[in-house]
Amino acid sequence: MIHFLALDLHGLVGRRMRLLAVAAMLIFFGIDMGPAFAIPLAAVACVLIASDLFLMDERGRLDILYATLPVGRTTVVLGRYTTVLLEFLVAAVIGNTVAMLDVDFGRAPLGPGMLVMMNVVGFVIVAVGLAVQLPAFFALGYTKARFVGLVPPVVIAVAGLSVGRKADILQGLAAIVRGRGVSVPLEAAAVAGCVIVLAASVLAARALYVRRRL
Amino acid sequence: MGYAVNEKTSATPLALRAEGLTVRAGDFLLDAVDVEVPTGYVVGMVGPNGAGKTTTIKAILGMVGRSSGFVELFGEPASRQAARNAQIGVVLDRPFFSPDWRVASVGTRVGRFYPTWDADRFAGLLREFRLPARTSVGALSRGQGMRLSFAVALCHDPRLLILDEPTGGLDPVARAELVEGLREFMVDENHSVLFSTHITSDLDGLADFIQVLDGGHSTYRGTLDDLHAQFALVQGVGDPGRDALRAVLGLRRARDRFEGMIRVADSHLFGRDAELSAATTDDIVVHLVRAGHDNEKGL
Amino acid sequence: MRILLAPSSAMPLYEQIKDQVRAAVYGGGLNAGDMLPSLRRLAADLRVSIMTVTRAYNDLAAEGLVRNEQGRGFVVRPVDSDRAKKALEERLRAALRDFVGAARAARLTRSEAAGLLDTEWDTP
Repeated sequence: MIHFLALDLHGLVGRRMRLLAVAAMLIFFGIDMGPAFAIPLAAVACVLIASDLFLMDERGRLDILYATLPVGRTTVVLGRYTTVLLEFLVAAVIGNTVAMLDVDFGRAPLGPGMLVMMNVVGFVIVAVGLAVQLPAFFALGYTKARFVGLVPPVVIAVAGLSVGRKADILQGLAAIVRGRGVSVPLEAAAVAGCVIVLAASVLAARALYVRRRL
Repeated sequence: MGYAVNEKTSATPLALRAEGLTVRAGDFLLDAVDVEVPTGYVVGMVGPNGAGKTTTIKAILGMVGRSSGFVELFGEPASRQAARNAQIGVVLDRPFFSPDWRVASVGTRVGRFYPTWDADRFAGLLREFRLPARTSVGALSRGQGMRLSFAVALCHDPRLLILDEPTGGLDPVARAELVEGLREFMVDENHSVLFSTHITSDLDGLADFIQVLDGGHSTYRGTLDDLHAQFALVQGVGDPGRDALRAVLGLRRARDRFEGMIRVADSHLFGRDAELSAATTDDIVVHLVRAGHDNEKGL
Repeated sequence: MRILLAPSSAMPLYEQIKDQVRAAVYGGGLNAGDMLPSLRRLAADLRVSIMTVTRAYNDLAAEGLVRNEQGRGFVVRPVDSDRAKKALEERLRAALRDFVGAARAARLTRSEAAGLLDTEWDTP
């Protein structure tokens, strides 16, 4: 799988302009919306650009290439999920850095509880977003699945905007976090749930990709 | 139609054996096709577009699921893709690399998957094939794309090359270059080739065996020599008689003239006014396919 | 040994290969113990299928002209002098038949044809 991951990441290098643009957008919104918001936004960006890899597969007929290489389709699926999660890791690091800088400029206080919570929220967004998108892309390829791929980002965007507009909800959320401290069991359960959802998604993607006609 | 392989080659170990390949895809049915590639030989697969050549090859490569049949490579079931693909090189009608990749980087990207990858050979082949190393794949001409695919297919030292319509849309020079490359590949007695094409002249002087596909069926398998020895073209004027006409494959009549192909064994049915001549591979494929269609129409 | 093929000739390619190997063996171009060119190399060089050369070599082995040594290739056997003589005569006769045929077609007299033969004979 390491070879496939290397191939996938090698392909990412070619997309660095696009990644930079997404990162810039992140920083801008993150600073604008308030403390720690860069973190879930980084996750949203990740979900948005995940389809890119499948677009590149389709453009270069890379599914055919993978089928001629000495790797099985399971390896392709596992490698692709790993690539996307690595992307999230990088995005999370950028998001956290932006959040910290925000704090350093003294614009907003940011407790460890809030930081952890925002990271959990980010992971939930990525896990759910990818769990829905990737099996569709593996089953149908970019063109046929791109509308399916749009569903989670749209849902996230709509939800994010409506929540963002209602400042009182945010304030309430922040109050809960500050008042009661971090609900560790809840966060742990959320993370565990997401891992299970991702695992199920991998299994579904594998079953679908194995059947796909290339 | 019989499967003619002489005793000598049937004892040869097989690089590839596929039996009863059956694939359903919409209206198309690939119907129980058998394919055999004896080690050390070149097998050409011919037939009109839509005959099932690509589907057969994709079924062999595991790119489409088959509803029945099995594939054996070098005497072992080819169930694991990883193990199977390490020993074969694949060239398809168009390159399957990202258009953004630079030519030289294709070797790095693909080579890492093979422990046997020969980077020096790849660099050498790029020079030999006059491929611009720094150009991106998307900017290559059709012929350059095919040469790049061929170079990539060779550099992990495969024992079997599988080519699907690699010469479609190529100019004669590029086609000759590919065929020359295949000849060099075949100098090693452990190497074998399965080569599908609808340009049968690619196979003359290259293929040892030939398989004709038509409408999802395999209609002829045997040596190319036997194919040529078995059939002849016939044309004549007047009525040669019922039995004679029935022996003509792909019979066409215009006014009092008739023409078609016959089995050489049936040549006694024709009188002296019928003219027999040698058939090219193309002639034979055309008439076999035509005869198949005539049968379907109940002519 | 050089083998040249005429793809447009009516004679099958494997027969052309056999003919030329035979000529080389009987004419002294190949001696007992010499190797024939590698079958696969020859196929690539002549641009013919491997089976075409295999067929030619196997026929030559069946004629007793060469033998297939496992792992080495085809080796020229010592020439049976009677057979060599017969084979050379047969070649000569075939060439003469062509010559006479061409001379008749050109309406030459016998002495004119003989004159041509003399001229050709003296040309080095």
